Amino acid sequence: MNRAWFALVLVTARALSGCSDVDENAVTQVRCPTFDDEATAFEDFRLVSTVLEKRCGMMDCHGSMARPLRIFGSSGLREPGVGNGLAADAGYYPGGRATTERELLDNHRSVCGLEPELMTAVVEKQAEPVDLLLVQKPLLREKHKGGRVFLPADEGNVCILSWLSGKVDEAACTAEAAKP
Amino acid sequence: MTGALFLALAALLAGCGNPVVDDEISALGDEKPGVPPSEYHRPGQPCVLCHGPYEGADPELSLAGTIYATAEEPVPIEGVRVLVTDSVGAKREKRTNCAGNFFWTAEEYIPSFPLKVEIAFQSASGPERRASMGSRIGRDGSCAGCHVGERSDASPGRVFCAPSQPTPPFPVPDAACGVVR
Repeated sequence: MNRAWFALVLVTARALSGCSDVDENAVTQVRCPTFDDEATAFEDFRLVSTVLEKRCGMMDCHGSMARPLRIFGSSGLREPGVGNGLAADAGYYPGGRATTERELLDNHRSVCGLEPELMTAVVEKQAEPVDLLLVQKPLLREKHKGGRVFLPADEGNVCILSWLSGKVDEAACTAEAAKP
Repeated sequence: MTGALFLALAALLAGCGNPVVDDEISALGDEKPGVPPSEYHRPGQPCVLCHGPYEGADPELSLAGTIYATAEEPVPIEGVRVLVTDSVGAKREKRTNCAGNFFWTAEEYIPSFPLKVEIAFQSASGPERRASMGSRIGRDGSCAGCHVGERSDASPGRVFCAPSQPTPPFPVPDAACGVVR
């Protein structure tokens, strides 16, 4: 018994000593598609965000404050109104005014923050876009509570893949967004 | 020893619940006086929260909600056709009752989410009009899971037929709807 306690103390001490290796001031740079170019930043991602808002951002799915990969947008959850300075009577409700730039930026952070290291690798062509959960889940290649959202040839999937590859396929994104 | 362990485990599991859902159900409050549990009770509340697998209220419902006249006026509308198309192309239709309620039981229909929903309603003058929901329903069978009360940044407001009252206005429902004396 004493030997077991001694082993436990050793393991605990080893685990605790490992915790002190973290550099609190370290900065991890994360890259994300197309937002590197400020000139086209919002407009490129707006097309993609429209697809995400429509297909993922329903209020009982990712358009919920309780969900990881939270998506804001005009047809779903709005970023809390206080921060935007807009109230429901100004059309700031689900189904109301267009997605704001701030909501767009939050969606961008959501998407890129899901797997930041892998997203960086994708942007730097060290990994394939299809490796991301963002692509795998809606294709149901990974377990997804929301089921299959896209087939591989669907414009929505093509849109997201094109953005991840560095050049947004406007036609595919627009076509998906126009679907009921 | 094994028996005691089994009993302890059973007691532990029996205590398992979902405090979030429990709180949501508690927040719904009591029944309206005179309107006992029936197809007319608790309009505007998230039906499947109780009539679902967790709470187990009978009957189990798969899809249910309440339809009102306008976004601002919580006047329930009777006879609205609710048209659902699910992800495998199955189509279903129901009509609202005098409380504005409609529902599918789990025995009648288990929808394949996501769903596209339309409503069709008759105004006093003119032909039947239709309105489509702007987004799809992802997984929640309760309309009021998202359509909570007044419009806000977190709710599209009630499910309604028209942006404003038509001329002549929608008929006011019978005040005795669902009331048991």
